[in-house]
Amino acid sequence: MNFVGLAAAYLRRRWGQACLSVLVGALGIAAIATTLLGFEALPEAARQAWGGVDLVVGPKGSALDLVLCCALHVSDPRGLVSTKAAMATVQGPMVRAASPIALGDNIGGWRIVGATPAILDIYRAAFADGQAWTDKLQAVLGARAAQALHLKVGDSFVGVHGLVAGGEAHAHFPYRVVGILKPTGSVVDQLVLTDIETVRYIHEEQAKIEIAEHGSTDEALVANLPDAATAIVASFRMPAAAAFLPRQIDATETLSAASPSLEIARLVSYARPLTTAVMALGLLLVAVAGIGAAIGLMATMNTRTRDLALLRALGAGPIHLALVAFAEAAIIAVAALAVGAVFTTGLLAVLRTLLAESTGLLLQPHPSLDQIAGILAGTLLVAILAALFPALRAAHAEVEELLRA
Amino acid sequence: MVEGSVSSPLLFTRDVVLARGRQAIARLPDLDIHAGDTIAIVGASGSGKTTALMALSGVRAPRQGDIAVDSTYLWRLPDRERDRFRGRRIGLIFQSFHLIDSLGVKANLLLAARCAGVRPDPKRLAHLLEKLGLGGLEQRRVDRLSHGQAQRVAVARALFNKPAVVLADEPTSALDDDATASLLSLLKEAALSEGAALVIATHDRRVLSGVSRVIEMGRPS
Repeated sequence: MNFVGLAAAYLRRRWGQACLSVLVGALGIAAIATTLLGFEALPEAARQAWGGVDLVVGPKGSALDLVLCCALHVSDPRGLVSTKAAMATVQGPMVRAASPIALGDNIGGWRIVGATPAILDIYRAAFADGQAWTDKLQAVLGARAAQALHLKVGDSFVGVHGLVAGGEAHAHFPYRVVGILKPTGSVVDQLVLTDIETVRYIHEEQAKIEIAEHGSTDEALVANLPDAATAIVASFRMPAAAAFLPRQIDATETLSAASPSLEIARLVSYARPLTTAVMALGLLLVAVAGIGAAIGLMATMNTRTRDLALLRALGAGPIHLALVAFAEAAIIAVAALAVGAVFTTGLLAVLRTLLAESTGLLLQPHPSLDQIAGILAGTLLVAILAALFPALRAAHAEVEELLRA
Repeated sequence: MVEGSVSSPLLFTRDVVLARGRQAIARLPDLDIHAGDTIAIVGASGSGKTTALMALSGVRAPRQGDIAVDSTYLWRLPDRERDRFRGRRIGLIFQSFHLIDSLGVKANLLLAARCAGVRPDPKRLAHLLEKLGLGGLEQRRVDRLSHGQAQRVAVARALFNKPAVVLADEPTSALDDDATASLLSLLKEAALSEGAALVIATHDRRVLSGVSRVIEMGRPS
């Protein structure tokens, strides 16, 4: 039996109050840690998702929309561009690879993206099976898409109009799978790639069928812009391109450029007040837990006057008595840290699943040593502050109180 | 050995005047108490018995005079040293035992060793518990013991660190005649077998027939 054991025994006697302090502290720690880790992992998840895409060129409008739609594939396109005009802006030695992309169809919610084979170079994608398309109505599937759709090389499928499942099927234009990509960790894992001419072909032919059947079609826009694309995605050969190209492109009348890294940084900065608020809530919870522990300790110190005096009678010094109070606070803090770590792990797992389901982004939080040390040090500081006055009270216990009792 | 050693008696006092605040309240007769001696300090309420016990146990300094336990002058030791010395060489038994309810029997005894900075001897622990009829109760929480068992745990704790002197404060005040006789017998036997001197501060006249010497608290001259 030592003083830490005595502190643990005291805590067992008031386990309800101790559990409440642990729970509130753990919730605070979890709120702080989840916000800290999740918020920091989000840009990294986006960076991994956009892969090698350094620049998106699309119609005039919001640059953030362009990135979300054409680099991260989490939102809908806002318009079309002429492939010829847009590709002309990304020609030159500063660009390693560029490809037009055409969105509009999906299979089971997985986006069908019309592109040129250069897109494989942009994402540095390699084939697990098969090869790139060489003709119309051939498809190459990203690893996750192939797994989820249970498709393999040689299988056929039919695309559906729109970017979400449940649209009108292009039943007359079945695709044949000619290649499956290895996992890259980027958004290309979730895409179904095909020749951009296939997308145009299907929509032109679909328009003809609809006009013949109903006298009109919503594919008219495509028919009116023969080289239409949703955007151009490009990968730079040299970082200096980021300084010149967007400015040149933004100066044109019809095109705008968007850098995924800049736009995501801007998006994260928009979210900062929210994360700051959650962090503040977490700090408040930790403070409440600390105050609760302090009040609990102070109250128990008052009821333990005789015990503390007894320890003095048995030879314990003031420091030993203070140690009992500090040990109680430390036990609560360590338990709060442990429970908080479990809560954080659970919350991050839920966040990861929700984010993956809704956006395809893979959140992979990796706590740094600095973050872990910060959370540990902060929690222990609160514990020390909580125990300070009870410890001083304990240290001043006098044996006389026992003999006078 | 610390400064100012004397020889032989386990408890030695000379010219001790006790005070409460600035006021001198009693003079303690000079004592030379040896191993196996049992002394009762008696006096009416407010006569200074408890104050005497505080001085003898190193809790509150007397106004004047010397007190030595096991050849060490208590009041010449620094505070921390005196605390530690008390834990090691002076066993204290209180009127209401003052065991720590949150702990078991064994843990209460081990804590006494820990407070005094003594390495606990498991054999001694087992021996003491057995001798005092507490065998098999090592893990039982002390608030679940009978009054008699708790009393014996208090005695075991006072003896665990092999004290030179056992000081008991009003140990029999709440007991009936049989229980008083039983406790006195237990204290005397235990102290004797451990080679310690026993000092009992009491106003209970039933104790007097069972001790080897009675000291009446006197007014300071």
